[in-house]
Amino acid sequence: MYKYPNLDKLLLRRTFLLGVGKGILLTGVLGRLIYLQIVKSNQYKLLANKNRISLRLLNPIRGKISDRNGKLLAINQNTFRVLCVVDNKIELKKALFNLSKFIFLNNIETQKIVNDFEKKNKNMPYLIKENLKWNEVSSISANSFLIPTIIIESGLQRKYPFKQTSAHTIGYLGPPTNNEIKKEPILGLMNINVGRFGMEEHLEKRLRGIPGTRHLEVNAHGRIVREIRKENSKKGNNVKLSIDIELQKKLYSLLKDKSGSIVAINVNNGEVIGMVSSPSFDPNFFNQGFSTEDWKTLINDPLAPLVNKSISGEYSPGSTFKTIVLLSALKNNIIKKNSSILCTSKLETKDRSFYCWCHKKKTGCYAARNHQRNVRPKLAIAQSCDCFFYELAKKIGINKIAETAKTFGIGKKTGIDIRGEKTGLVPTKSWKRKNIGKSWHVGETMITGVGQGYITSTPLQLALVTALIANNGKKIFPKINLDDFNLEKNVINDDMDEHHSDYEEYFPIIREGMYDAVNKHIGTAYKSRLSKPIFAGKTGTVQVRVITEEERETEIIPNRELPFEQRDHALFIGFAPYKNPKVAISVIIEHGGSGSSQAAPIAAKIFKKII
Amino acid sequence: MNIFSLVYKINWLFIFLLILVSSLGVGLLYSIAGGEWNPWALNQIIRILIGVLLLLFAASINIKIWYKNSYYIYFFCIFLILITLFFSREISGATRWLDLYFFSMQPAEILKIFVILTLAKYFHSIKLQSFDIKHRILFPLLILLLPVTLVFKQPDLGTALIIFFSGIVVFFLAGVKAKVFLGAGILGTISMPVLWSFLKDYQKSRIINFLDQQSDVLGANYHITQSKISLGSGGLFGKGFLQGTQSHLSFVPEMQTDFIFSVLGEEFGFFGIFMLFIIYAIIMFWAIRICLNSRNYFSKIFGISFISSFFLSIFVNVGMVTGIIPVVGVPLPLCSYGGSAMISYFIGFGILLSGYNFRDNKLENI
Repeated sequence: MYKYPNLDKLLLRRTFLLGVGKGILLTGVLGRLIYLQIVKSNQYKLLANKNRISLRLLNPIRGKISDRNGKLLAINQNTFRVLCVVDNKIELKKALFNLSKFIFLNNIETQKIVNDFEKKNKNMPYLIKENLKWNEVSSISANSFLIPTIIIESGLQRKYPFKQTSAHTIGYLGPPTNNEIKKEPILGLMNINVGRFGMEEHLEKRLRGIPGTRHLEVNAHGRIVREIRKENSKKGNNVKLSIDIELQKKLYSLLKDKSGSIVAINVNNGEVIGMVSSPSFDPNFFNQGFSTEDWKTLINDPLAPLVNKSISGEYSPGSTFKTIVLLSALKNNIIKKNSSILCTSKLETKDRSFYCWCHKKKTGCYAARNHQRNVRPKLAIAQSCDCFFYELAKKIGINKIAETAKTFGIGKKTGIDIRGEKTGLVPTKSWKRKNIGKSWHVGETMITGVGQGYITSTPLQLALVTALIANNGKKIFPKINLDDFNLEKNVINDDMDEHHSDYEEYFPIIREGMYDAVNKHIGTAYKSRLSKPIFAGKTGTVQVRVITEEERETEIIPNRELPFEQRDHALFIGFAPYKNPKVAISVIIEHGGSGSSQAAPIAAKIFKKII
Repeated sequence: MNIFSLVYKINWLFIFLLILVSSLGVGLLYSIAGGEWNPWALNQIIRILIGVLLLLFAASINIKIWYKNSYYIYFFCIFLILITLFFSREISGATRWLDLYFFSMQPAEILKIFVILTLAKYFHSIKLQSFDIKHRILFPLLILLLPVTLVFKQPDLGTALIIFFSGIVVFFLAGVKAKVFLGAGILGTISMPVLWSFLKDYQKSRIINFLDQQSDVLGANYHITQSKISLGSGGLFGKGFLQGTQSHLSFVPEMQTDFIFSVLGEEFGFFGIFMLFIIYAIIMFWAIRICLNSRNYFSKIFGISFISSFFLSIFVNVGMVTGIIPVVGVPLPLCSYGGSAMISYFIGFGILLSGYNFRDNKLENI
């Protein structure tokens, strides 16, 4: 049939060879498929799930904060924001145009929204406006079919109804910093704000709650296809504070236009019922996102509105410290209840002269025309006789004064459950050598005796000292979170009043002195006395400048004629009622002038309000 | 031959297997669209119907007529390619589509069949004559390289390679000596750098990325990475029909065309793939048996070469989807979405069956 029949044979052979070749290739492909689909299958299944399942966190609802009477101080308010699902600027402009028929959009904002569009996160709705008003929300939702690209999202925003009043105590929320995210990576995924100050920061863990999760199926473009699983978030715990917001309001109004702090503490259980630092700030601002300029003014304000002066302000206690000095003297048997010290209005030592606050060139000590008199402890407190305490301090010695101060909690944290507490400072000989590198002078002991010089304390510490005097040395810890019953936790202060019993018999003397200071005509706070309630207290006036000899020669410049930052700090500590004390307070007005004229009247108003 | 004897003679079971594979493709397209007939599955059904009609038509044409006219068809196809090259619009950097107003086609896919047919005719016609190198190798090489170059110019590297290697298979079957292939292979290897310079940048990068599949998984290697994930996550028995996450959430690009195989692997697993391979294997074995039953050399050499080309397409497609060869853009025969390739395979099988239906015809005297 064919001329070359072997051609067919050749074809057959080559077909067979080709078949073998194909077989080899097919085996290779099958081997590859077995490798992918059987050997490595689990790994690829994981990858496929990773591709499609996207975990979204559901933000928990933050716990509320209320005052001791259940009035809400920090709440979560519904907010609405309007977003837009568009792919390009032209669509965005169209959407904005349509939207502007229903809500007011200002031109500059609109321009900014359009310009910022490039920065937008792909596949995520684009934010147009936050904090919509209710009428805006309803107007958009009623017309939603006309603007299909527009969506409304609701969220929760922290609100502080009492604004500045308790800002320092409650705190505020702010976005987490990079460091915090590194420590707690979940913060980076949640898009929530964290506590930044006060109780919000201190109780962050308890308030925050536990986030829920949504397992979402997403496609290759990141769009959500469906929800696979959902675990609801867990609400944060509510917190009840010991402060009384009505009192806070009063305290804040008393400090209006002043810089300073007031702390009011229950002498029987240490609950802080009032704590105000002025000037303050509006914590709501931090949530709403305010401009850098606003931030700069806050930060650069010389009156430091962002500092909680009640716990972070370290002030010389001034004459209020005399209570401690006297306690120290009595305990160490330097002076007896009825013994007296001969005081002059001017005390000369070898390197400088010490003047009593009442020293006037011509008259000397106002109570004794002959420039000298015998002063007993009670009178020394009531009339705040500097010379008495110069002498007394010299006799006690700095280390014993320091020991007593520390026993009463000065120089260390009180352990109150708010962050940012400072310790204050109680100087000793060894402290000075270590930190200043010079040896201690006896003059410095004398200065310390009237609460000036190195010694500093916080307003809270002063209130605590007052409370201890008022309750006759009963061990209390300042606390502000009423839910925190776990008092044993307070490690910092465990040793605080080990020796309070040593002082027990001397507290009445101090209390009587403080009573006289307010209720006897020789007292420094006599003008502020109240018939109801009867309160006791001690004024303090802290010099922030050195009064030169020449000035004393002529006439001391009164505070009101000095520049603000050179005026004296005004202090007052006190408790009420005198019999059966309930509340102890400390008032500090920075550069306010004298304690008796500035701080004591405020204290009187507070006691009137509380009792 | 009248219509009744055709109906009687034609191998319906074989055609059924072809339709079976095509239907599998339709099923996958239905699944990819998320359980919808649009946009692909319905179109594909129409194409299969047209394909089957053309197959019957091709099978009912006497093999003599195919033999006589194969050169004309060849030049007609070259003409179409040239028109495409010069007149058609560019779609994503390539001019592959010829727009014929009522439908558009890819002449290169059609050419695939007719280059083999032409070479088969050539070797058939010279088999009685001298063995000299000019007739044996150079002329057929010219016949082969002209379309390969044109298709490569489009650029369509995948189809060009398929055409080229299908042609080489014809050479092999026609009895070109082994040493020639060896020499050509060595020459080809040496001239690799020269050929490299002819490649477009995107083709070069594909090959470079193929060599390093772990890198750039979101960019150049995205296709192949996602495709492997699809296949691998399918496991032994797959995720089930309509359950493929990779394909339904559109992680695999081009899944209705070149990467349809990965959808099969994901939804039906290794088992499904194995089944498809078995059907393919039956088709190929059967086709070769049919060819070898023919009494003329032309039918045999065409048929076996065509089946080899068919196999090659499968191999290249699966190899590329599984990541053992670079992504060159070859559809999976009879499954991938696309009319030109589908119809050209049906025509090819039609000619193959024609060779069987008219197996007693002698072609020597034409």
